[in-house]
Amino acid sequence: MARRRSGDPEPTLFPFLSVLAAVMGTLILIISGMSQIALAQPKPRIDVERFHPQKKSPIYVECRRFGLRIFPDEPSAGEPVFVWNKDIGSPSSAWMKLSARLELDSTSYVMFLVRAEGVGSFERARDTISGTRVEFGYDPLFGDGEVRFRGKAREP
Amino acid sequence: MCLDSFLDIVTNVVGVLILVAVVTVLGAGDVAVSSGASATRSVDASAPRALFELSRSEVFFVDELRNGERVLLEVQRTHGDREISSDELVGTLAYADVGDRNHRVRAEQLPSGLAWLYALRASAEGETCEALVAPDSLFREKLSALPPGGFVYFVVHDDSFELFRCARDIARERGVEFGWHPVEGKSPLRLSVSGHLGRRVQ
Repeated sequence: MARRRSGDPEPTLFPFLSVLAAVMGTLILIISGMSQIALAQPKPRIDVERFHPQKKSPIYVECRRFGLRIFPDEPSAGEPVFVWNKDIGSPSSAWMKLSARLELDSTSYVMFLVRAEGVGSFERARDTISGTRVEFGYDPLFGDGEVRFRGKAREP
Repeated sequence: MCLDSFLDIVTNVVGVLILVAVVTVLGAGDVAVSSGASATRSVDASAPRALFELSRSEVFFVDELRNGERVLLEVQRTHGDREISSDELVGTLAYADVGDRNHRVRAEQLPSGLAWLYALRASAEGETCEALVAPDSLFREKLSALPPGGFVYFVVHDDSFELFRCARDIARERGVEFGWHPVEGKSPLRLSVSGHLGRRVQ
């Protein structure tokens, strides 16, 4: 086995340490940056209640600046349908078809998710169902992130 | 100089940081705020209500009781004790400046009946989110003054959604029921005698 001669220079670990310290600094920067971004633009989350035969189930409609996004009956199962503001009152629009369906379907109601810039869309949609048998509720959506749906945890 | 133990610590720290960074980057999009969406329900018609208007990122108390008394006084001053028509009331309030330092009160004849118009004055001073948090804020004072069974109702203009979150959280914290209604732009409050929206809570 070869032995190091006493005259050989000792390998220094300082450059390696320097690289590690730089990596540490970069990682801290990345982590704090990503956390800031995530906290500044949180995604609104809706807790969807489990289906109950004796409870009315909501159909979620997001009110945006330029129109409505109608989510499927199972909101996380498919893509929403977009209805432009100018088409909200049109009989052939997805919104009017939904409201016609809900007039006959007493097991569901519309849950409007209203963004600050979508109050106009909400008012237009609400006007089309006022005086009908369609039931509705509304709740604000804060922030700019995409809305997400999550099954509500079972209540104790 | 022996750097072995120090290097050992540093490599461990870097390893942990890499792990945290990976988790943070992958999970950054999943930070979510629950909207608290819930269905609304009607409250008892006699339940006392504290009404607030949220505009210009400030909360303004709408003093329905005192302003009602002021309207009555103005009507008595201009018409005496005789009964007046709704058209006369609309005319009276169009000319006289009746209200408090936050709102000017008018009346409007709608197809469904008479409505009170509360126009926010340019000089009105409300409370910001920071002010609401203070223990001596007017908002908290009004919540404390609500008798049992009372509820709060917020009329939220589209420039004050974030403030609504603040006010709503305080009401929830104190166990006070609340309802709300969004309004586009700066249009004045319309409180219709036959309206039912202002008596629904979540």
